[in-house]
Amino acid sequence: MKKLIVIPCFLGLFSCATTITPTDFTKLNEERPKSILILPPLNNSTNVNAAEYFISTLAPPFSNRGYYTFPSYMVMKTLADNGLSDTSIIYNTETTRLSNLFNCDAALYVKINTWNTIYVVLAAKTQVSFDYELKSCKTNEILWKSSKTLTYTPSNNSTGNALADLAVAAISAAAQKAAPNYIPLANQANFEVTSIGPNAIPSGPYGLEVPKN
Amino acid sequence: MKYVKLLKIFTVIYMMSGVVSCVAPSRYEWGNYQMSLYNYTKHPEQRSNYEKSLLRAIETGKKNNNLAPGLLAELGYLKLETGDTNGAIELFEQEKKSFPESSFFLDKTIQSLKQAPSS
Repeated sequence: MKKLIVIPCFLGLFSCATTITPTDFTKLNEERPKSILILPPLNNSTNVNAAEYFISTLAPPFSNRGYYTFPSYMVMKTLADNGLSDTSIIYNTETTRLSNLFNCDAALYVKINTWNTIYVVLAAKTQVSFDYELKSCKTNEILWKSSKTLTYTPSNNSTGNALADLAVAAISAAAQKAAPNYIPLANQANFEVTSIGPNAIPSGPYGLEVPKN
Repeated sequence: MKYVKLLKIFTVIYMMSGVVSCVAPSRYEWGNYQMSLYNYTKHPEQRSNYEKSLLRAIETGKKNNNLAPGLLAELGYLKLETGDTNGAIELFEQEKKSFPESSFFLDKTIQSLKQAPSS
């Protein structure tokens, strides 16, 4: 019996892996934040440019859910002006300090775990993985959290000619390696965690959905 | 050389084909904010591109009544970086009017600019 359960679990890991844990929205519903301060992402991946890429993708999906999102770049610079240029220090700072600077209702902490492209002969695989945490700027408590891992491999349609197929696969893998398409993957991850499934962040005050009670 | 050209063509086709299948249409006008901001943070000489894309997104957003949160402030901050304090303050005021949640933060910024003019 045990074996039967293990196999589907492994299959799950190889597709778009999503950790679904029952979400407690009690605190979020109590506080009903209007504004989200998007902090510079904490980059734990091996790609040095990941944080700069990723920060620019966060405001659209969260504002789309009906929250005011502070200007990401200006916030990053303002934090630096206030002695918070090191992301690992920001992530260990109580949100009340952020509240004194921005009067934010909530702050978004995002950890980048994976942001890479692996190239194996005729295939390239791009993978991103993020942990998201929304904390109250008043109490420092976690209001909502989620994580997402997405993988992309360019798919090549068969031409019926094996040699031609090999050439196409080689070229598309090389293209993926030369210019990995991270931004659409990051956008997709952000969209899924904010908008899809039972763990999606509930609609904010500017949202199109009527808040649930 | 031919290979490089071919590679470029395939890259463009591949990018246009898009990875994303189901991203909802944005309710705000962001224009080219994502890519231009990234380019600017990595390459400061791309400043004018970032400024242009902000201006375009703001203009379209105002026209269609879907101005994105934060863009006026981002443009204001860009003006501040080049020493245009008055231009910056004007944009911060506009952001405050459009999104009152920004008032506390931008009032503080404006106040500090007025106390120590021209940096």
